[in-house]
Amino acid sequence: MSFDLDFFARAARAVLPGIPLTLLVVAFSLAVALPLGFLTAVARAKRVRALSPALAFLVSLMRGTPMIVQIYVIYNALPLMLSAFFRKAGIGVNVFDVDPLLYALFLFSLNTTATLSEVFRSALSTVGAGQMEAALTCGLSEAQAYVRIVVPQMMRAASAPLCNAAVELLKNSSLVFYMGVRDLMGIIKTEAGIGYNYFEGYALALVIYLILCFGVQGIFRLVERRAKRGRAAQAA
Amino acid sequence: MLRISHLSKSFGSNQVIKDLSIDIRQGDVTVLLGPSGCGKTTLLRCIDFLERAESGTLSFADGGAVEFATAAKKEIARCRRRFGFVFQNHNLFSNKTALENVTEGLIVARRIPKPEAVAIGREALARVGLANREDYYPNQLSGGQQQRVGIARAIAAKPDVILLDEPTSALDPELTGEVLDVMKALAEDGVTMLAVTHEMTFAQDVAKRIVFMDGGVIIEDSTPRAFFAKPREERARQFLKRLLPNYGEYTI
Ligand SMILES: Nc1ncnc2c1ncn2[C@@H]1O[C@H](COP(=O)(O)OP(=O)(O)OP(=O)(O)O)[C@@H](O)[C@H]1O
Ligand SMILES: [Mg+2]
Repeated sequence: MSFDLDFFARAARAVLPGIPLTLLVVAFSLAVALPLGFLTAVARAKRVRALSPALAFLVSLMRGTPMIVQIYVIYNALPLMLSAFFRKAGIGVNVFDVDPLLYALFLFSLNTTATLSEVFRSALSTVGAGQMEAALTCGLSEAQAYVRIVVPQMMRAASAPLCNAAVELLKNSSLVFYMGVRDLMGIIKTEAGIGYNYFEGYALALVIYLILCFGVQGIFRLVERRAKRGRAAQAA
Repeated sequence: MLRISHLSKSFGSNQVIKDLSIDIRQGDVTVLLGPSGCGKTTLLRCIDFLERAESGTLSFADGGAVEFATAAKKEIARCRRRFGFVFQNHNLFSNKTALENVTEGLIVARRIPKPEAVAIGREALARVGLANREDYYPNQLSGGQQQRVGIARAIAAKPDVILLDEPTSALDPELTGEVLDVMKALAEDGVTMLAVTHEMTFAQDVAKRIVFMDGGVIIEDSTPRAFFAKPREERARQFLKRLLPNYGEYTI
């Protein structure tokens, strides 16, 4: 078996337009999940009566079931349920016309929220309750105390697992293919299928994901370093 | 200057504070004594709304009263402005310098412009003898210095009353002196304090008033002179005997 370099180059060019889509899924999910995951973690830590157990269940659901199963459920069952609902409510939207990307963004945001809520929950537990209490006695509101005292301290414990979660998300984003979204993995599969160049195609996918992964890690390291410079002496 | 009346607090079925009332007079240094578990910490925490009491009223001499059980967020915030709180283990913000620890509440909660807050903060640090440590983070300070920053943070906004919960009991013995000296200096300046402490020399020499608690109620409220000479209650006598090894061997 020989490596078809021509195909490799051709496919690399064809796949480029798919990369922004992958990055969109990653960036959008993170943008939703960072605040929502944090709020979920806080709500669970505070043991709000009905809310905390409900959130705990949702998190287990998202974390404890394979993503591929979630994808099939969301992609197949949700449109059916929605269309029944829309028909009843008299809303004239045909859900089967909805861009599958929206379903993908929905599911990945939800899934990432669950993951990050666990990251934040354990990071929050590294900050003693006394920090919040001291802030309250200084007159800060609870929200101010979180923003100015608790979160900055929490980020020290959260930054490494956050980076891991982002890389995990990047890798999982290749699953949007199963929802009919043509991301870079989708493009590669089609391209490879034409001339049966699967080996080259998957090798290409490997390289691209590796590069993207380095990119994500690089961004995190940059943010981390900037945060650290802000508290340089504190690390002593 | 402020009055706490009929305060009650339970944890589950364990009633820790039982219908307790106490007046705090301006300029007084009140030392709260009592055996472990009698509710001293809980009382201080209830006063500053770190715990929610089930009943009781907090009233101020300049008018206004708040129900502990039902106070809304805004009322709690208003009350908290009247108190400074010094924790047993200082609870300094570990992501802030000594000066930032003091100015945080001034800038964020009281909306004092930063330059002014910094000036107030420096003055407060100077009062506890730490003018030269303003840029140090808590983990770069000794235990005694940390607690002095904690005191500076509590006094900076000039609250009506400073609540102190065993400010020296987490410290190595050789570090308690510097903290007690600061508290003594504040007392001499007329700062009103309600302090839980087992430092008997402080209680004897600095306090204006000793409040002895047991089982969630105040069972003796007198001057240090009267209290240490001859407590009226047997429980208080037992307590002193345990804390002062040679108590009773001499009488004043
Ligand atoms: N968060 C809590 N949950 C349940 N019980 C509590 C809680 N905090 C305090 N207690 C109980 O309330 C009682 C009074 O505790 P508190 O800490 O006020 O005592 P203390 O007088 O400060 O004792 P010490 O001298 O040991 O500090 C104790 O029996 C304690 O077990
Ligand atoms: Mg205590």
